[in-house]
Amino acid sequence: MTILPPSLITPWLKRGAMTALVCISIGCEGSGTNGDGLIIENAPISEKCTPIAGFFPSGLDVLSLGSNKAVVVQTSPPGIVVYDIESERPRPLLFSNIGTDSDLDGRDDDVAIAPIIGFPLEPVMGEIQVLSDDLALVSTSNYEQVLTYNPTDATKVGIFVDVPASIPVDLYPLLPPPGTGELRTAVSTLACIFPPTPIDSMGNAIVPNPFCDALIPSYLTTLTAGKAVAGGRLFVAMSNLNFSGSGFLPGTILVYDWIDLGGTITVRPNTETPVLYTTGFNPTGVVQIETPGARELVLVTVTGAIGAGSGASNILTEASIDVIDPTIPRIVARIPLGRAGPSFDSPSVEPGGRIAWVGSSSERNLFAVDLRALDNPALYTGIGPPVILDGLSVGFEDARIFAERNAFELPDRIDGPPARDCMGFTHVAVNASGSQIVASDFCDGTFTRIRADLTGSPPIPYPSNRFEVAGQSTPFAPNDALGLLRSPSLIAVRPGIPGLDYSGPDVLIVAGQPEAQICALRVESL
Amino acid sequence: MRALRALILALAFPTLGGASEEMSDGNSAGDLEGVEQMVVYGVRTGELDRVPGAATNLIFADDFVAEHKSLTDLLSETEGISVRRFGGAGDRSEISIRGSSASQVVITLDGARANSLLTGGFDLSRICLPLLERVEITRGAGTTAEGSGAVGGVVNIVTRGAIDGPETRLAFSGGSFETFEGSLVHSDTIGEIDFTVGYCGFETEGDFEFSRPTEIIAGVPATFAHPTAIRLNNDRVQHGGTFGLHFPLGSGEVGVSNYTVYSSGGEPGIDSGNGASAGQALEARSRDLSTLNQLGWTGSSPMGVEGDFQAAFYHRFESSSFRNPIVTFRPPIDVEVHLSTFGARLEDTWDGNILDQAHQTDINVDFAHDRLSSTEQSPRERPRLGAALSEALTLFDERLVLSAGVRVDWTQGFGVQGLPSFGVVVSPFPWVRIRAQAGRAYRAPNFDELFHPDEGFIRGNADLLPEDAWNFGAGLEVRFARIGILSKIDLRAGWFRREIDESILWVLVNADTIAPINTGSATTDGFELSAAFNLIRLLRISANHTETQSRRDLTGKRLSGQPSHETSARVQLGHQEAWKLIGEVQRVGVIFVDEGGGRRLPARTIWNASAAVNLAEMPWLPFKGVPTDLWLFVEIDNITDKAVRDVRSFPQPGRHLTGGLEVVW
Repeated sequence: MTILPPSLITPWLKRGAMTALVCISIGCEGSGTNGDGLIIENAPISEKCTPIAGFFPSGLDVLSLGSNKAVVVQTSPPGIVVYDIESERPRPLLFSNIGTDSDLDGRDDDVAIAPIIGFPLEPVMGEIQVLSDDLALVSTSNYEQVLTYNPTDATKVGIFVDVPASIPVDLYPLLPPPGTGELRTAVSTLACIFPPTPIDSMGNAIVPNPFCDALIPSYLTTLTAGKAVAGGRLFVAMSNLNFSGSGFLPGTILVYDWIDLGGTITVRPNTETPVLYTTGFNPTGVVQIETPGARELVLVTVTGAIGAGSGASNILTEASIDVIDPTIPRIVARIPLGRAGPSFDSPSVEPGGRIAWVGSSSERNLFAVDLRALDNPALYTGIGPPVILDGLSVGFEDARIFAERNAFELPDRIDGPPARDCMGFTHVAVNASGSQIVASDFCDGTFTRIRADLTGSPPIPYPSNRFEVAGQSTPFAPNDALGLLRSPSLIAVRPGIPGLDYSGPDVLIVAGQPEAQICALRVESL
Repeated sequence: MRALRALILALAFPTLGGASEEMSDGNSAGDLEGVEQMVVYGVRTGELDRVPGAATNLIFADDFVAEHKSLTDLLSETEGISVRRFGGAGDRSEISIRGSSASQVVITLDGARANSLLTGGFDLSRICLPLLERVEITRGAGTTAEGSGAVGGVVNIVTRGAIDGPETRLAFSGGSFETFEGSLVHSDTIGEIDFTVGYCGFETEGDFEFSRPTEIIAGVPATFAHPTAIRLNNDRVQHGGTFGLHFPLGSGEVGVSNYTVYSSGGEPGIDSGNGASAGQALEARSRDLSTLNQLGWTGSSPMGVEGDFQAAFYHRFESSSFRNPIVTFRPPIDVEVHLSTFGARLEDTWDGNILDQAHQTDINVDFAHDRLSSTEQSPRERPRLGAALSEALTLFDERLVLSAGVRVDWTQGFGVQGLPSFGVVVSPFPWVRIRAQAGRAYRAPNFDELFHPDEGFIRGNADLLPEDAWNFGAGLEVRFARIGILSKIDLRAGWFRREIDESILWVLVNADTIAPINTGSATTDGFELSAAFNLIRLLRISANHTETQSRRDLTGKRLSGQPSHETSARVQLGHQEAWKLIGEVQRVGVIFVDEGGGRRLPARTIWNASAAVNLAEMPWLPFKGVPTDLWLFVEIDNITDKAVRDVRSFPQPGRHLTGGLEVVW
């Protein structure tokens, strides 16, 4: 056997031992940060799409006509991305992470919420609503709040969050203490709710939440969804999925005063009507509208209880569009959709304020309501329960154009997927002129154009034959086509007249697979 | 340059290359007087008898003494094999052979199938290398012996058996992240009974710091709030034990063996959020216990012909639990699963001659009954049955081996499958071996794929069809004792192709639900290269490279989860039995996160180094003769502290250090 002589081995041993000791003493444990750390490249896979980090983006909105920008809410890393949408493929301009203390209350989000629910939770990004080119509202769940962002430069916007002294302590556990106010970048939507009818969507009695009250049935709000500013108030829909996942708790709209005097906006919980209870479970999308009669209202998509599946069996309770009069505030009307299971977006409203559209969470359908029915002044005189606009309430029109029983069905894709697993999940938007509705279907990847004839003054509601499919294309593959661009969801149409006001693509769609993408389509912009 | 010229000359005119000498492949040492016995350390080519024509490897644990290797490490450094690690020490790791999924590789432990009945995969981290003698790898074949599941290949893990005379092995190591590992294995013979008993324990805090990903899109970086985070709730304790004994009975030998492993620890899950916990699950815990017992008899064929006969019964039990009290918008998770398999197999091998040409007939019958009980789904049972006949004909003084086999396999619910295979080996000269092989493989869906309870966001699919594949492979293996200054030369090159239909993948079937579906046809092809040689007597260099191209036939899109290429190289300086300095480098290519997608985990190059000295071989130290071996070692992995991930949301540790000792007496 050949062995190196000790004169060579011994020094080496000493040197090795010394190296090991030094290594241990200075910390041999690395952090994997050599160089630039872990860089994940995202290469485009389509000439019309740009990748988005994370998984399914949760929000999409466009800025004003002149800005040529759109914003997307990205889930991981959590933040918003600003895009230039004048190019053929949306071009990312900048990304802003929401940070660990997203509301700037001086505590990291997970630390702040831990004492309330018993363990740390971090914000999960939700939808975005652009109010102007310098202010957008972004929902987050788990750490329930509405963030205020400048959608042009992706910077946070400070708002003064003021809590009246009359508000009970711990009613809003993450707002400043009652009688104080702070400059923050979000308004907390975590609130104790004491429902008048303490029954959840499974028919179970709601028990007291120890944090809110040891004796009175109560719960903490969950799943911050849509929001809108109207009538000097901020309305925020809370879906209130039971934290254990077993059904929905009564849906609520949190009401805040929104005081915009030109400087820093002040937001404070409304002391008279801090919460509105929706007429069904799971309020999601919220939008401020102006009716043809120039009445400012807020529409809320109430999906009803739905499961985590697809098809009619996934729809568990009735859906509606609830109508809020922001000046009182009060839910003045309910437009029942039946077991429609609308998708979670804000109703997409035709620019003239005549029609609002929503997609379907479980089927290849669209639903629409005639907003002219909301110009009936009798809706705003009573103080009782909301008027049901189904044609059966004396003195009120039936506002439903397409509901469960006569849904607007999108055509089947000829080479579409079998409907067993994915029976439709649609999103909808209306073009700037109101003449065309565009819809995406997550399941079969279709993009459908619907022509709308809104001429004249037909009786309420608009006859269904005034809407017809103008065309269908397949820019995305069916959901089961692995490896291909698929799973379109959120959709938005640029403001302005294509070709005249701008030259770029006119429709933006978010696709979820194989990775998240934002895609630009030319529909009317040729 | 002269060495290169010598190599070219040797390849062109092999008779000039010097005498071809017997090389140990683990099956035979070649004790020929007057002929130098060559011992090749490291991953060796093997000629596993059952699969003539297939690409195979043998890995002997003793070749890596005092290197603190894990089974995962050894497999990942083998050509044709890719390993997906879901973290650091003690965290789950899965094998892929030639681009397969983990459930497309049959893992056997001393010949008995050890894949999870639930998921089909096998967690390599549950195997403790000090308890092993060797690992037998068959790439792209093995269906004839194993039936369902051997789409990518077969890995047989062989535990340590008794050797001549008593032997005790003790090992202990400690290192980064408060990781400690110890093992004790004793073998002895009492009368006619050989026995081995071993224990292996492991504990880690697992709290390594890791780099958060930065996603780059059109030059715009998207980063988390902090560039690094700590892996939390990643502690793990593991205890493993093995026991085996053999004694003569009749014309053969009875063998009894047991392998048991218990593991308990945190399950941090994916990293996702911004905060200090990085979105990790802080309270999720898992525990699992698995045990495999075998009773067998090996002897001469009862048919009265020359050959071997083997009968074995085995029982495998696996119990696992997972608890996570903190889950948003669903009830706390508290799941227990119990799985068991009772099986038996008979194998009779007949060696004979036809017209003075040797042939071997192998008849194999096996049966297994799988059972599942779980707190979250109905009890399930499934019998499996298989019978195989294979024939190998050796012609022209072993210059040509032709083989053919067929297996008839039945799994309840999936009918009878016929699985033919064919192989040919040509050895025109003793130093060269040309092989080719083709065979059909299939995989019946596992319990999870079929019956995972509908939890809204995830469910099984009872309508799944079995995966159906054809494997093709060919290779050239060349071995020389010496060419110029190079010695102990082992060169291999192989090509492979797999055409698979109805492969099963978990996909998002609607907006909320993940379920397994049959995904149509896909093709994987590529090549494997490896080389090993001694440059000087104390310097051995080995390297291998694998190219794997996989694509879905319908779209042409590359499949996800596997690198397109992997290269490993190793330089060992020193005397294998006395001291060694080892440097290793592994280059792993880009990994697609999603099929056909643009998101890519970066290529990486990882450097490792270790140094070990056997004090028992140092004549000036007082250990000589007391222990047979007394190794001290230190190892540094990921020296350059690279951010490493095989799976997007499961980080692996950066640089880390381990030191320890191994004693044999």
